[in-house]
Amino acid sequence: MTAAMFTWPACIAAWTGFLALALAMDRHHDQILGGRPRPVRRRVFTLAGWSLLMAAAAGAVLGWGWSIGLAALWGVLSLAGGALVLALSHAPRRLPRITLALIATIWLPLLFL
Amino acid sequence: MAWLHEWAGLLLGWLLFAIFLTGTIAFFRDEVTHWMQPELHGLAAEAGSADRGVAWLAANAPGAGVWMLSLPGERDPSLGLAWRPEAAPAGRAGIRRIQLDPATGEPLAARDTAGGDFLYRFHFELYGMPRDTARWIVGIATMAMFVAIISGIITHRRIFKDIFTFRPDKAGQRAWLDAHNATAVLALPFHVMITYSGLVLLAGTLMPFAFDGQRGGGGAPRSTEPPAVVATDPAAPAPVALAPLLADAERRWGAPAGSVTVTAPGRAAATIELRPLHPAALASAGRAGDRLIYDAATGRLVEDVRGADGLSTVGEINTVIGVLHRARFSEPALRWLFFISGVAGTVMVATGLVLWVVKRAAQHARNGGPSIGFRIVERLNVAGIAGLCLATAGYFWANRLIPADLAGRADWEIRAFFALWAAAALHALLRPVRAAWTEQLGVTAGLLVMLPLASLTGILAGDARVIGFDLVAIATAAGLLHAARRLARPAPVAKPAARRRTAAAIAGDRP
Repeated sequence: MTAAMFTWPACIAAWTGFLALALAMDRHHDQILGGRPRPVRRRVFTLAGWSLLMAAAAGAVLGWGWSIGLAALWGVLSLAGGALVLALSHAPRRLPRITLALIATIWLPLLFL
Repeated sequence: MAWLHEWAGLLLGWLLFAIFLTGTIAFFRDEVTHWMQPELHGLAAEAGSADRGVAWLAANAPGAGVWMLSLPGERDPSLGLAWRPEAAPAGRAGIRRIQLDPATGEPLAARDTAGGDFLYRFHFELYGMPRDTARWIVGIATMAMFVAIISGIITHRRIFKDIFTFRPDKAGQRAWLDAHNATAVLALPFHVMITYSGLVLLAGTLMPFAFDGQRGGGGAPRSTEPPAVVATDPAAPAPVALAPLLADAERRWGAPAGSVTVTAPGRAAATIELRPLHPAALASAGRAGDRLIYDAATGRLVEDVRGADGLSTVGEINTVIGVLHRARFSEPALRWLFFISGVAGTVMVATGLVLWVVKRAAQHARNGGPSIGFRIVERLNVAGIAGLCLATAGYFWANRLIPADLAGRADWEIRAFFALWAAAALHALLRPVRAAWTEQLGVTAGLLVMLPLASLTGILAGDARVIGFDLVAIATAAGLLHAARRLARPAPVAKPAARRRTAAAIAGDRP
């Protein structure tokens, strides 16, 4: 298994993590789901967000080792964050569905095995 | 702190834009060169070709002191040979190079082009000036970039609150600020890494005394110049087949060999030296200096040099940072991630420059007309951003329009690049600013979107490198068209209250 196999799952984890962090913020919660999040929800989103970002980091480091892995992680975060920002400004309501569709493709790299 | 950010960014902003744009393209420097040699399109890399190269050299360059072969790989499918013929002048000019078809061993008549190497060199050595001077200029720009990053972080107080905020539909200034912030913040670790590592790579020029007496830790420096001609010894045995040696090297390194150097071919003391294609991991980045030396007559391993041996910790870190900056990994996925982050950096610099103008436009409109400084910046923006994009797109077209067999055509391509850039600058001076933006970006998008037509044969041959290049060109064209539409929009006159808010947001992001 090559290290590149980790890229796509790490990207999806980073995207979902960023989305959860956005959902923990008033403005973006309102944009995506409508209304403000309750405190409990906010905490769950924050926790889920950071955990997923950690998962992305773990994926990158497992795939490439520490040295390249951290550099790769920066690229993954930039890519996922940038894509999310664009999606958030153009189709905020459709974000949950887009995310589910993305998660459904997490196994795609297996095709290249 | 806001003024520091604005002025550090503005004064060297156009240079930084050029460095970021050409540097980002340079992540795919081999692929760009490949695109610019249509004679090689559709060529498939073949592993067993090294011996064909040696056979060709034995027949055509028997008197050379050294034969150098760069083996076909994923990024460059041709088999590259280099040697210095008898009675050739010293220096780079005396080296002869040829590319062979790895499958047949026949010479390929690829056109002469600087390809991606020109863009790569330009991004840290500029062009047509002494190397050290250029590196100093780029080094100063890199330091300004560092200042801009740090002051930008401090200025942008709501950095985490605004992290996902991008409001393209808002009034002009706000959208540009959002775009600037989003590209800056999301790729922040990349910006810090690439700027810092760039500075480290230039450190030898900026602070030469710091390196005195510390060079040469990692074995002999890689020689790029074949030494002078030597007399051949007719009694010397023919060199052994390379294939088993290459297999042995791959077993030892866990990575394929990328280049072969045969020293003193045709003499009894001939040796064969192999070097790996890519450093497989950053931690063992000393890999760049790994070498295996074999006796050419018997194929016996003479020396296994590990580049990291004898390298100090500082030297090792230095190598790691260098590898990181150039994205010298074997993984294409990583290269793409770096490329995308580089695009974010390019957009960040461009939006920052535009923002400087947009922010002051309303002010000047109220105070009765723009100042001369404002006008200069406004036009330099067009020439520096749109003009360079136009010149780059034109460089690719020049590659196809200049006759393939013209003498010194690689230099003509570069001349076309600078001529177009100069023409764009002139155009930016003569036309109204808004028209200059739309026209230059529009023409660039047009040139880029038609590039696939210039590489149809490669596309039809299913050459992935060519198709990837063309897809990036089309995506860039779409981005430039979008930017052109935005820049063509007249600057909206904000309501007083909204204006105060945006002004405050820019000055220090206070709510």
